[in-house]
Amino acid sequence: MDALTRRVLKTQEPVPTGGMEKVRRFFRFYGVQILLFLFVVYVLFALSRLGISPKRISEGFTQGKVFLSRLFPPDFITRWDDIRHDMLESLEIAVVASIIGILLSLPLGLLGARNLMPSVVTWPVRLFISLARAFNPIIIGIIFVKAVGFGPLAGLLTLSVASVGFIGKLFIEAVEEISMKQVEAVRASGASFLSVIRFGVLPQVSARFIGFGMYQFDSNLRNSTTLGIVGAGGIGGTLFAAYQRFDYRIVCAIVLLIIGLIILDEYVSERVRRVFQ
Amino acid sequence: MSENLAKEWKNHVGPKRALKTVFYAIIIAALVVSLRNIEIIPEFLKDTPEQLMDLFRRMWPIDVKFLWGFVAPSILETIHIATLGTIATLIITFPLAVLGSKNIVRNEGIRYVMKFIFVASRSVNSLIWALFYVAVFGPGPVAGVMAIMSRSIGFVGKLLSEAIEESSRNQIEAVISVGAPPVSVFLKGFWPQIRPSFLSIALLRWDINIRETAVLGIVGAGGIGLLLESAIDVFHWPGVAAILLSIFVVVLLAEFLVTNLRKKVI
Amino acid sequence: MSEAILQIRNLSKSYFHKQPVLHDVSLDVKPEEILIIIGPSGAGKSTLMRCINHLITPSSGHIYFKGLDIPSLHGNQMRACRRRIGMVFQEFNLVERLTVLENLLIGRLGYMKPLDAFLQRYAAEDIDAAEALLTRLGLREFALKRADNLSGGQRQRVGIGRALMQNPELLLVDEPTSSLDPKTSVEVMEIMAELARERHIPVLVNMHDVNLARRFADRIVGMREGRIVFDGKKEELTNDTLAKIYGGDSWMH
Ligand SMILES: Nc1ncnc2c1ncn2[C@@H]1O[C@H](COP(=O)(O)OP(=O)(O)OP(=O)(O)O)[C@@H](O)[C@H]1O
Ligand SMILES: [Mg+2]
Repeated sequence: MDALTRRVLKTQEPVPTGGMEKVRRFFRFYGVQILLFLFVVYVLFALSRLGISPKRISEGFTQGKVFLSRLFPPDFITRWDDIRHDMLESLEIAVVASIIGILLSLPLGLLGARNLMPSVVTWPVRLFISLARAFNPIIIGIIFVKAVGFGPLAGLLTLSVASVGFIGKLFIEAVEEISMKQVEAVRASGASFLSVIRFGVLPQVSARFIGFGMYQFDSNLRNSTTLGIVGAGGIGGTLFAAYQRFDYRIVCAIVLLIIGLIILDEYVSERVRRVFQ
Repeated sequence: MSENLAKEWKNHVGPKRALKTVFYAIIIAALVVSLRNIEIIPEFLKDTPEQLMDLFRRMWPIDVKFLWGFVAPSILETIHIATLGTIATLIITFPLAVLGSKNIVRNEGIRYVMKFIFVASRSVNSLIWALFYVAVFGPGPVAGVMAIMSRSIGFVGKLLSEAIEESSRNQIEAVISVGAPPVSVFLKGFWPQIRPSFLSIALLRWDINIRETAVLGIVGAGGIGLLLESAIDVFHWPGVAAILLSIFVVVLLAEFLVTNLRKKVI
Repeated sequence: MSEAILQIRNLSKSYFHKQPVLHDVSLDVKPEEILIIIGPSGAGKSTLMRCINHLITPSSGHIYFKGLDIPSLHGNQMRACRRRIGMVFQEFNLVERLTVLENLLIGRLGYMKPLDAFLQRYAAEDIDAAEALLTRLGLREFALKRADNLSGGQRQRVGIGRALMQNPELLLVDEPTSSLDPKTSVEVMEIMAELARERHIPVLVNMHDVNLARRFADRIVGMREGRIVFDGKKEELTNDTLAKIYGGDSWMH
């Protein structure tokens, strides 16, 4: 509300009588400003809590120059065998986890849809899916590393669970949006439960499901390159080891390779998505 | 029609089935090759459920003292990092997104530079960004804020550019035509059109950033992750449970808040 | 005429406690008759039909269909019974993303082995039967088009075809023409009546259009607020009885 409107309104409204009314009018006119003010106060408070100051930042930038100079030129050669093996491992973890995740999400998505299933079934499924979604894959990774030890198996399990969290939720939403009329017509023909799903439900959601799968693979690939930092297999392990040895030129090489892989994947999945549309 | 329908149907589904079969064959092949290369020790896999159950059993009961004494402040720090990181992102990305929009900047070169910045930002995971910033700023939340920002620029930039490109020129021209100065053109013709998307993107990214900040501490960039790592290192499982529970609650609250606020701004 | 195909006895249904939508409804459907139910919106016509096909379970009462008490059936028995009763819907309820042929073949699902159904392995006889029906319905050339490409009248014909593919012994038709224009409505009703007569299938139809009901019905039943308030030949449907069914008579002028 700009100043002019505010003045016009003020002259038109009856003069406030009660104290409560005054307070309400005050908030109606200045509510947004008050919120903004509180927000700025919070930001300043948070900045001071975290010890962020212009001085700290500018010091960082001087330091940053030194760091940047130590990143280049990237060193692809010294650790090439490890790098190649681990990059492939990341890719493989992403492939397998995506497939497992999608396979698990299909039944879970159907079981979690409130328009198809009673709440005794949907409730635990939805709880599991929101648990799987709430935690960053890295956290799930730490737990799996503790449970099954270091290595790609932990990464595989982690990303499978994470995939179920994401596709499962999207799939439930897709199933809950379908037209029940089509489902009812199939039921009315005397079809079995499986056929009702196959002919009444799946045709309505399958096109979107392919998109979900592609999306999940992208996401799994990104995550499988970092899970190694907590010991769950893939290129992240080599990266973190080089970082801790201050071999920054190897770190740089690995990060560049990861960027290349992600960009390549984005390009390919864009293509695939276009084919399926 | 001379052909009968049964034959037509066969010709209709035949190629589709073939295509599907090829598609599944490729997937199965990828699965087999990958599984062969990943060294999975069957005994470990078989052990997994039992090991997990054992872990969860050791987490009970949750360490309440630890929750209030250590987890709560650490969670607050996480929220601060995510929020400040998001705000920094918005401030930096807005001009970049404007420069990256087709309908505003005609120069393709500039747009490509912006696009490159966005892609580079998105391609590097926030944990890796955090590694860099820890090396530069030393361990602590400053590195966390910088990492969250660096990772978010690409996401916000891409979506914001798209929103700007969808804004209509007519409304802007209407404001220009009354002879308004550039600032007014921006405020009255342009900003109202992208405000809903801007707020919505900001909220969405903040929600994601809360989740991502939760792990940055693992490489020393502040927040709850540091506490999680040390609790696990000393096998303090009831404490780990407290941390996981509080992350879960915060993430759910953030999601709830964001879904409701987004409904309001759209 | 001989004994009734469908006997509804004292049927009641309430969705919410103590708010019955159907009160103690009793009704017989005789072989080969076209019985049309008219009544205002909310009278419970659709609810009655959905009870007959056991898409919902009535609160009390019986529905005898050739000796079976439908509400008491479960599982396989219920599905076997459903496939003997064809149903046509107001909004067609076609599976939009499947072809017209596959929509017709959905009528065969109740007869197919689950695995064959899952893999879409349809029997050649079923496809031939579908082809014959599509030709009769004037849709032969659309057989392999997706259902969402059709017009309203064409869709409803697919709906009728799907129900007939079940080889039903009774056809339930819920407001088949409410989404269609007047000319198409008559055409759709005509082809449906014709096909049903040929196959000696009794038909139970809900509709709002009194004139259309008079034209096609052998018998008309009037429902109001969950009760049957008229049951007779179409000649007996006077303005007075219509006023009784719909309440007031100002809408007639
Ligand atoms: N699934 C349901 N849950 C709760 N109430 C319902 C449900 N379906 C129908 N009703 C209620 O039952 C009453 C009868 O509905 P019904 O659909 O049987 O009427 P109808 O005679 O078919 O009306 P119309 O001519 O508008 O189709 C209505 O008051 C409706 O609100
Ligand atoms: Mg109805």
